[in-house]
Amino acid sequence: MSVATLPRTAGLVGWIASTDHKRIGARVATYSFGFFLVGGVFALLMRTELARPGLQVVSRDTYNELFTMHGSVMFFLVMTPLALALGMYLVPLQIGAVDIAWPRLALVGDWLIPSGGFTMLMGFATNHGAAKSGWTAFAPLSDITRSPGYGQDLWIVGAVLATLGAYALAVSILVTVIRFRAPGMTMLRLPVFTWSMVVTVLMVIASFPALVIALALLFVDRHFDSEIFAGAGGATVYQHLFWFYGHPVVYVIFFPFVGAVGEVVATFSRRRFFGYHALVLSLLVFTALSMSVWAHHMFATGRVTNQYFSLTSTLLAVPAGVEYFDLIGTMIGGAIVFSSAMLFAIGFILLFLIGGLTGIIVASPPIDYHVHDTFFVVGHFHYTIFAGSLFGFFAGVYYWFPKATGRLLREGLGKLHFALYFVGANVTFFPMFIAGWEGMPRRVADYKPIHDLSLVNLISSIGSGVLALGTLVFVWNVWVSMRRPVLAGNDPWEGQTLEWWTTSPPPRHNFDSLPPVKSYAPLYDRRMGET
Amino acid sequence: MSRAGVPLAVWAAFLTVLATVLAFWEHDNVPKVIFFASAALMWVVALYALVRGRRLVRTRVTPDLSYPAVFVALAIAMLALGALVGLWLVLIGVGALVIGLAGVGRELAAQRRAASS
Repeated sequence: MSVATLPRTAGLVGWIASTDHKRIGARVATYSFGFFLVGGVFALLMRTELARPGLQVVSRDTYNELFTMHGSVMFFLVMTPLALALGMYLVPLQIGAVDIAWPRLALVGDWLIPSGGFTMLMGFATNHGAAKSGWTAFAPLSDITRSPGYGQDLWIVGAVLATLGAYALAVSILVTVIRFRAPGMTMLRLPVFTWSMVVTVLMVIASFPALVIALALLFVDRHFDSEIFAGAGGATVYQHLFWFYGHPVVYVIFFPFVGAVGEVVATFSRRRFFGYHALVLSLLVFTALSMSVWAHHMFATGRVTNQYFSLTSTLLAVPAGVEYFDLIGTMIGGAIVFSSAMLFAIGFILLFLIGGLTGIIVASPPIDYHVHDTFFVVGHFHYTIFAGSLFGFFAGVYYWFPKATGRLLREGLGKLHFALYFVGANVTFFPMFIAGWEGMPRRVADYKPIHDLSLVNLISSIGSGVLALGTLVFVWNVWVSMRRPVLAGNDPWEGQTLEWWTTSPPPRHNFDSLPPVKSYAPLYDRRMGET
Repeated sequence: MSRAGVPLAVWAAFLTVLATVLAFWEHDNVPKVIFFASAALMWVVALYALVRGRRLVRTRVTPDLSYPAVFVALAIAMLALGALVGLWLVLIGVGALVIGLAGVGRELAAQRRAASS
């Protein structure tokens, strides 16, 4: 495919309306990071409140708003967009494409997400405050009687807009992979990260419509007295629709970072990725299975078939094991370079393991009954999403930042960032397992002044401060690296995939030329051919 | 037929198998309907990829900017918010959507002309 383009438009206009996939990706990543800081402040407020028993900082109502908006911001406006932003930026570069498919659709999606975000956050300015029914907005808690006011409605509209935006980005990425690959780039030569994006967007396309339907019906229920989700049966229907989206989305914000970690591990182990074909198959199986486990969130309702959902949830351990085996196999015998990116990748592998193993615990109905709606579950999903996915994201940031900006991030600050995050994540989230096992429910602003609970909550709150400090170090690193640049060159890490062939940052049309593609790692092939 | 659609078809087949197993186990119709609907959607996507998924070989003319696309996004946001705020915002949203889509259509036509010339 050849391409003709106009020169890139500079300035604010170029930033707002550009159809360049790199600008769209960078834009989504930038505002998502802004939302991350907002969601992080909500988390800090909650942890400050929970540091001691009693109510010191916020009221119960405000606490309810905080945990609702923290979860909503992090899922709808941070992790999902960040995952897709990485794909939007990198997939065309990795497959040797000059552009993204359907760029206007991607641009529409790009602007729907922040529109949804601001709509959702506007709830804080309404009479009844922002939504308070959790990021799940379970019916009947979210109905007009129990959640009066515009806050919940704004949440519904905002969540729908953000979800539609993510959908548009996903469709654009999938069509790009199918139609815009460079000559020689067959499906079984796609880089590991691109494969992880393919399965991710498949999950988005298959599962996200369920949320839009659920929220549209919830809106109708709130304003037209339709009672679709009224009664026990209705509440279960809502949960089925919600969790059909709500579980796969956890993998939507996980797999892109598995792919990113795979690229980082292979590059910094100076080896070809171990077990590429097994990884591709495991990604397909893993994501398909992950579409079938949603009702394990509903064991405690007593209205689902425990056997099926427990079985499929436990089966997830098999493809997950294959992926871990491949990642570790790549490192074995490699000349490992402990760069910031590699440290975050190793952190991802270690910490997600804790999240994954505790996932097996909650996949077992008898144990799930014990820990359901306790802080154990909060600890579990923060190990998967924060300690897992976010570490994978930062592995990707330290790895690809030079490609996107032409500048290297400071390694010393990167390692300090990693150390603070690694310590902070464990100090924050591990005590939650103890609190949950002892029966502390989630979504409460206060708890009994029992010595154990007070201590683990205090430790957890101190950990959240360490995480905040780590985030500031990262922001400082970006600031310093942009103000006093250390130029990166085209390929500072000896990368293996096509994005490292072009300039840093890449031109509007991505490539002036392409090397022959005979495997998923054409630059590695070329380097090996030269030696 | 494009081979790029094969993994998508495999994935759709996985979903169908899992939905079928669920159907044997589950008595409630809601989860079955949701899962089969999702699998059906993925079959549509996979068939599209199999039939229309050939690699693009002709020249593409890519516009650097698209104001109408941004306008469409804002129009959709206004439409959604209008459902809450009132008919006046819905009507503004409809107007903005029409203008935005017309602009996108104009861009696409110009793009086609440029590609063929």
